[in-house]
Amino acid sequence: MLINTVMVCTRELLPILLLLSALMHRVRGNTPYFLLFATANGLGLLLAVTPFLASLAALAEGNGLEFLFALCHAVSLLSLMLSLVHRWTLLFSVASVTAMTLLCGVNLVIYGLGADTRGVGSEGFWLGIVLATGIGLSIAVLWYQLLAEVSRLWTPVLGLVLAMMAARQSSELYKLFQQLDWIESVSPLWNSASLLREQSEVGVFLQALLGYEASPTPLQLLIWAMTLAAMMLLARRKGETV
Amino acid sequence: MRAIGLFLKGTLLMLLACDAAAEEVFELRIREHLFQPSRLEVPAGRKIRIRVINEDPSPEEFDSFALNREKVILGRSQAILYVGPLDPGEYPFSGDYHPDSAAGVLIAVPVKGKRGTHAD
Repeated sequence: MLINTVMVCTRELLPILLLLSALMHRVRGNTPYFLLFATANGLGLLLAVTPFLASLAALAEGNGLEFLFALCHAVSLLSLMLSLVHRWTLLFSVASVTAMTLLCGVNLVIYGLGADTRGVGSEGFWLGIVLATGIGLSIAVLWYQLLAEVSRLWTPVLGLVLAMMAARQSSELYKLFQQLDWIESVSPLWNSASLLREQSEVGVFLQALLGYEASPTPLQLLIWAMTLAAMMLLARRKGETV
Repeated sequence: MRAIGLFLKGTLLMLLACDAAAEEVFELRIREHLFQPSRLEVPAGRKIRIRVINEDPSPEEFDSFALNREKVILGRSQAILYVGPLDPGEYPFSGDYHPDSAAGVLIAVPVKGKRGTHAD
């Protein structure tokens, strides 16, 4: 169904569009170069990787894609941190978005491969992508404006938002390591699905922004909080303002 | 350098093999966008591996909130899911790409009961 395609595509595109919105504040003055290089690099890598997806997925007992996704999250996280300690802010911001573009792009390509079997066909898939992009861009523009307005009243807001996005990368890395059995599975601390489902509209937005999990484990929460704290400290050291 | 690389690879393979040998493997097939068996019994309290074999030409995403697992399996390929140890109970899962048809339940039974039987 078309609505399912729009929802899945929106869920995939939202994290990268929110990241782009936030980083555009940081790279002010270089925005055209940032958008150009981030988009071109991400799409270029995606085109390079797509022909080898099947071979990649078959590695490590069918967990090859998880390795790729973990690499993308790690590069994005590291780039966000390095953008705070190094003067090459533009370069690391581009690297962060490139990694996320590759990750989201691979998911969308795989989803698109089965479009015919879901009754939407390739035309329906592309229509879904266009609609999802429109929805995502609308949210991203509103988010950009909101950050601009709030930062006038409270300057550390950009640092906080990017810290939450970095913490999201850590949380996603944890989930992938758990999936690969590199981290023991343990019982979650709580289950807030009855209050806020991950698949709801707010749940999808919060997942894209800060990695919202309805049932986080203690270690996952700890890693998330430590990454958030580290990013806030680095931002404070840099004197992060907007 | 080459020798060190070979040594490290060999050690890693050995570790993986040891780890793999300790876990039971259960099979779940995706055929015409349906999970078979749709009800899979596994032992509770143990780590297990589920080999998901996608016999369809299109990808499918194994998704389970209860198991906290989300995994895409490309068409005509297979993947291993590491699950557990699970408390006794039922853990629903579904195919995210075909939610109307692909659905199933993983049933973790205490070890003294049935072990690893396919109830479908």
